[in-house]
Amino acid sequence: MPGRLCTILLFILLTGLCSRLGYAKQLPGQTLTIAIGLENYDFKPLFAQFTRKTGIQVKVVEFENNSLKSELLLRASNNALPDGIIVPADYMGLTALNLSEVPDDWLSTHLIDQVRMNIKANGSTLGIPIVFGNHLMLYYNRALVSDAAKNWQQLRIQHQEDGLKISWNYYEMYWYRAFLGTFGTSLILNGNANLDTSAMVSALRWYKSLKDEAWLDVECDYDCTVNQFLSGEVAYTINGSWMFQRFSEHFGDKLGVTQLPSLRGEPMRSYFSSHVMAFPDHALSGEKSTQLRTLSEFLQSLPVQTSLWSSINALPVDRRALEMLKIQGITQVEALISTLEYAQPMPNEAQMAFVWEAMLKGLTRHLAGVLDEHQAAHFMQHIVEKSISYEQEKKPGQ
Amino acid sequence: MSKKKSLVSELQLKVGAMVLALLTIALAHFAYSAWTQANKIAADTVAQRATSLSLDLKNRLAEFTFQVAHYSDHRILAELPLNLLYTQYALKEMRDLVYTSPLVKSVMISDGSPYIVEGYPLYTLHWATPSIIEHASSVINESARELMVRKLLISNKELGVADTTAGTLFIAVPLRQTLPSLIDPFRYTSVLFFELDVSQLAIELADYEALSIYSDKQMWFREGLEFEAGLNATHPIYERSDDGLNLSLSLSHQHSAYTREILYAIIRSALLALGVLIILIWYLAYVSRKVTSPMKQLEKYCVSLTSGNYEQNNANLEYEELKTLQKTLNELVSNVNTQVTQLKQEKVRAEQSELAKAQFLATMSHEIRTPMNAILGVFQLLRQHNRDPEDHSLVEQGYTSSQTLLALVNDILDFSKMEAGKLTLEVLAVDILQLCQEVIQEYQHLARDKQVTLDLTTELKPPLSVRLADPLRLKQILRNLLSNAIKFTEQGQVTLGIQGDKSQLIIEVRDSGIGMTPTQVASLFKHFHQADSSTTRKYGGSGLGLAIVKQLVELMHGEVTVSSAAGKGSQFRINLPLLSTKPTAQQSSSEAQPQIPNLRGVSVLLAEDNLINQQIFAAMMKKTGANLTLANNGKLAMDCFNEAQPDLFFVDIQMPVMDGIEVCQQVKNTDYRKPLIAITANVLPEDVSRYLSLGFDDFVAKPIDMQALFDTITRVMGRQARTQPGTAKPDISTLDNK
Repeated sequence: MPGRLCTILLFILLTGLCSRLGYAKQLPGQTLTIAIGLENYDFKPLFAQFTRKTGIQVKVVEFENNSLKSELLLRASNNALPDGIIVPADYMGLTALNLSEVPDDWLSTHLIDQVRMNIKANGSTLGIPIVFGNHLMLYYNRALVSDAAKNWQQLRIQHQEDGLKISWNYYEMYWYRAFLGTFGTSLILNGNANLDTSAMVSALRWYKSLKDEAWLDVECDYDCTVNQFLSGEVAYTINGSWMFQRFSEHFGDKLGVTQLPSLRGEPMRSYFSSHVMAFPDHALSGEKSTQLRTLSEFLQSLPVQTSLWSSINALPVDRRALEMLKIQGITQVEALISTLEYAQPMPNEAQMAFVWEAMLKGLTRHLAGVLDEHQAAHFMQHIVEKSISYEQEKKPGQ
Repeated sequence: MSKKKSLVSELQLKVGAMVLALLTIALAHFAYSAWTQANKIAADTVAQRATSLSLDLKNRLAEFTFQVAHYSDHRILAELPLNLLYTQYALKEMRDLVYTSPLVKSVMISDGSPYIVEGYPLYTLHWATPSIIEHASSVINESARELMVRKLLISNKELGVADTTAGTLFIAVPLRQTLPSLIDPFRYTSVLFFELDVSQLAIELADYEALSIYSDKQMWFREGLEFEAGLNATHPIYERSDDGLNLSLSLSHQHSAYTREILYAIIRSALLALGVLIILIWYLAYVSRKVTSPMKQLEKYCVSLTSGNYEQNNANLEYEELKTLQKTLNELVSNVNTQVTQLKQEKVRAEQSELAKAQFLATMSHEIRTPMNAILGVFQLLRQHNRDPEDHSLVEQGYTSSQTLLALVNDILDFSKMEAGKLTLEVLAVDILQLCQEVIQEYQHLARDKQVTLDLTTELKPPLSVRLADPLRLKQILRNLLSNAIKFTEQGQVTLGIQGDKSQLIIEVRDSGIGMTPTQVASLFKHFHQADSSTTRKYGGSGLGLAIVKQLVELMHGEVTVSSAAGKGSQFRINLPLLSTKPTAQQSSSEAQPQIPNLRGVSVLLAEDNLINQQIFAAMMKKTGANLTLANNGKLAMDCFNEAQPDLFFVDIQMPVMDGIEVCQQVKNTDYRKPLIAITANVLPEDVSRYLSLGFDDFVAKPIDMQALFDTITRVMGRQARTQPGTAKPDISTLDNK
């Protein structure tokens, strides 16, 4: 009887210990929350790999790029930001996010120079680069298109003669910027927003004319354009390098990738940038700093960087990995790299966040007929300056 | 000229009209009262409804204002004009506001700049209008310590909305940042404008309502069609002092919405009244039928009474009044029946008396004619044989007297026939002048005896002398008039004047006799009446002559007038509608002199019971040379007939043993086809017709006129000769009365 009692007590003790161990595994510090833009690479396989390797859970929340910024800013004021965000490098200019400065020793020593320069905002490194590129390309369906259009004139003719359509996320400023780039302007000039320009006026006029010509479904949002292309409803789509993997999986050899179409001989110029992981609300000073460093190291590790192409069809930020990729002679990789020819590096000044919003508001009003192209350009400049002025006004008090 | 009025239709008309008038008056009174009351109720209702709607609207807006007032401290929205980066969040917030609040049609933020900071839906970005900018600027500049949520009514014209007459109401919530400063606790950055969706205000209007809400400058909205001459009420929603906006509500109700039911009620009542009227008219018609039906029965009964059908009416009548009438009529009928029975008895007696009289007249006529036959026959024969002038004169007087007596008898018979309506006229072509000459000739010797000149004067042309007329009756008229004229003219002259045209014949008989007084003239044509009773004594006569003249003239559709002066003579004027015609051969041949037929070798049998008549007949026939056999009655005549059938067989109708009728029947039963001639004093036309229908070939009237006898013999023998050639026929060329 006493033996039996001992056995029971021992069972209870073991059960308690097991429960305690299980509880320790699910501590808050062991789960990281990451917000990413919807129009982005599918990082989930990497996070899954990370969790398998480290046991650290990663909860991913996706937002549309247009609303991601506002959501982050809103949450910033409520101390409700995620542990990390994977965003384009220009997000690092959002001071309201209170991004932690990343210690230099957190960064890989093998970063591509362009990337290393691109991750500094106002002289500070506020993010860890993960993938490189992120530029826009012209995808086309080889089953429908035998000879990919080189310019907008050819696209229009193919539309009229062969019914070949094109779509892109019309109201997304990252795309609009590629059209604006055709007219050779810089959104930031001498550290200041530079929107009220003739290039902006021309770009607005052209962009609106595409809408008015009614051969585009401008109301089709990002998901819609992706689905249209996947379903073969449209022959062309303009999308980012982050969609290369998904389209490749769907179309295989039938996927064509080429330079963005030119306008009257002038190439469209997309931004390219790196996607970085940043840490809002000074997360690196928090209790999850260790896990976040583990994640950072994991994402910059050569094996991960080397496997970026194979896992998510993204270009690595690690020079070694990129070189290894280049020498493999993969056609698609070569195409991807070739489309970078006319791409421009995206400024990551703090003002860029305002510039994106200002351009969206100005374009929206212009397309709605509220403002003409001159007024719209002026309006963009006006609201950017007002916001920047307010931003500067707030700083002393903060 | 008065129209026939029906008691029943008048009753229907008047009762119907009275009820219709009463119903109309009642209906008009009801309509007026209802109409007045409905108008009063309508006015009150509209006022109450306007107040109610106004308060509802005010409460609704107040509730909404309360609900959205807290947005004034919305940090993101308040900071949006200053921080672009909140744009997407603000847009989402604004979109949610529009989608979740039914009353919100759109939301926009103005910071007083020429640009709308943000707005949803897109069209609000157009609304950086002076009013919006001015209001936002004033709010920002004012920086009031108290939160002032205002209403703003802006014309659609300013906003560029299609309906330019209406306006758009905004609830303007100031957006402010909370500052730590005690002095300046708020910083107004912009104004959040809520465009209210009128359709969501839950103003449910009936189809007879029209609503408009307006400020002193601008209409907000109008719902429902405007009604002409509608009932209107206005009620303020906001005073300017309260909310910075003077907003009033004007409600209009369609007048007919209140009066429609009244109208329907009036129509229903009118239809009801019409129905009552129809039922009433039907009932009146029903009652009328119930009344008129027995009345018509009685009327029909009365008509049958007028037809002489005096029977009791036993119809079952419903109404007491009609029963009384029926009873009275039955009593009347009873009395009439009694009287009719008496009258019938009287009539029977009168008829019997009349029949007896007629029978008497006929008998007397026959009885008189029989001796007259002998007398006249004797005188005729004497006239033929006597050559001694003195005797001849006496014979002539006797002959004339017998003729007068015969005429008197004829007059009596004619008068009886005319009284009985049994006299019929012949229509033959008659030479009037010749006829007048003959009559004149008849009376010439009488006139000479009285030393009275008797003349015929005429302007009638010979072609117009021949007329369609009855010569016998015309002669009768002339004879009566001339004999009267000669009778009452002691000396002087009597003139017969004949005039006329194609269709009229005027006969005038003038005399210069004793004449008549007007009183005498007035009673001149009455029966058995002479101008003076002394006249009868002095001049004799039956008094029938002029009465017969008048009746004959009237029978010929003419007229007779008389003008006379006592002591100066008289003038009778007869106007007869006798048409002129062409002379006929017969008429022309009548002018031939009568001749005695030659009956030598012809056997003649006479059945006659009167010996004198036998003798006269034999004397008359003697001149003809016929072989005459006499039989005293019908039976003896038949014996003679059976022994040797004669060539001519004269049979008297009234005979003892066997009368003429039976003789005729027996003769007709044989194969005798020679002339059978009746001799009778029954000269009434119906008697003559009966004899001819029995089988007689002709007849000779008693008293026998010798010339008429010879004419009859000539006629029947000629007819016999034409039908049976070879038989004996008279030779009129060898014997004559000379």
